[in-house]
Amino acid sequence: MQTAAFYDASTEGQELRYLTAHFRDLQGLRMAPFWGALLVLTILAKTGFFSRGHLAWAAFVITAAQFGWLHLSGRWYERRYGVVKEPEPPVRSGLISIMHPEARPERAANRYYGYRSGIFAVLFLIWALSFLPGIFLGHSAQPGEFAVLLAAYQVVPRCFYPVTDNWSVFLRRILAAIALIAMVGIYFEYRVAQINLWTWMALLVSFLLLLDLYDHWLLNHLLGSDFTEGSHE
Amino acid sequence: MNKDDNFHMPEIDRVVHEPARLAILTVLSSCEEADFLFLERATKLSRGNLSVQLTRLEDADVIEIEKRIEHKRTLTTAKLTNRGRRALNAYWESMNALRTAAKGRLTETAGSPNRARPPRRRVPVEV
Repeated sequence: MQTAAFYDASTEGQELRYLTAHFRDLQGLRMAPFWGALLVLTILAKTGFFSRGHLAWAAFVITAAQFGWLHLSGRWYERRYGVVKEPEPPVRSGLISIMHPEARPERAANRYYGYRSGIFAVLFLIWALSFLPGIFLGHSAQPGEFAVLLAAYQVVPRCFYPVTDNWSVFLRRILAAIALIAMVGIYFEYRVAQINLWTWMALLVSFLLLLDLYDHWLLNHLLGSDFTEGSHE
Repeated sequence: MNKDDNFHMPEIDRVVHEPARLAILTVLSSCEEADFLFLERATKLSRGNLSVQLTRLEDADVIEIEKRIEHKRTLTTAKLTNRGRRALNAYWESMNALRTAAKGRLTETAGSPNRARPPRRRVPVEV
């Protein structure tokens, strides 16, 4: 009898389920360029070569471009990796999936899911376009609010999703947990020890960049695993 | 008489049992629907083989294939039918029953060395 016959309950089967359930969340290249661009911007802000006004404009353009990139990169992933509709009940995803209202499962209980996600995305766009340049301008900047939002949508969900026996999936959770602890620690350091705002921002976006790059790698790694070893005709 | 001698081999659905088709069904059972490209990448089957297996599964009413145009390209998606889901569940149940029975027999055989090989029957030799 083929060993493949038992892989429903095996690690490979679990990995496959993890892959399909988190297919959109693992598309790390949708957010990675944004974090990369923000990292460059904060480094430039720290060097002090550019005026705050210029940096604020750059932040505005980068944020606006990111929304376009979310759409384009989503299409790129579809062309390269295919399309999967997540299982029911849908996995509560982070910010990445909110930007893609079409991910609504067919049998989802809430029929306004798409509209709600769309409205949320527009509100988020307005908020991001005003908030991020605001940080660079230096007025009414609330780094704590920024960090809490990023942690809530980008990092915390990665810490709570069930993981499989696979080390690479488990490492995703470990990385997210470390990032979360570091984000809290760095924030307290910023509040108490008054470390430089740009150093704090650079560290914050570096963690997010790392997490998203890891997600992209994980997607390739899981798709590269041979789920059907010895099962081809 | 051993109690397991009454064991009946469960009936195995040949449509599901074939490894390439089982791989496709396992992928589809883990999501609501998936397109051809994802199935190709996840199962590592060649396009031709995948296409043939999908057709067989569709013929057996185990999966449902839908073709639609999206972003100016044809998107072929497949999803399990209710019958397919039932067939897959039944398949895993029969596999589990088989595994449990095999395990029981193995333990029993390991416990009593006399049962490992049945005694030879004397065959009358004509001179």
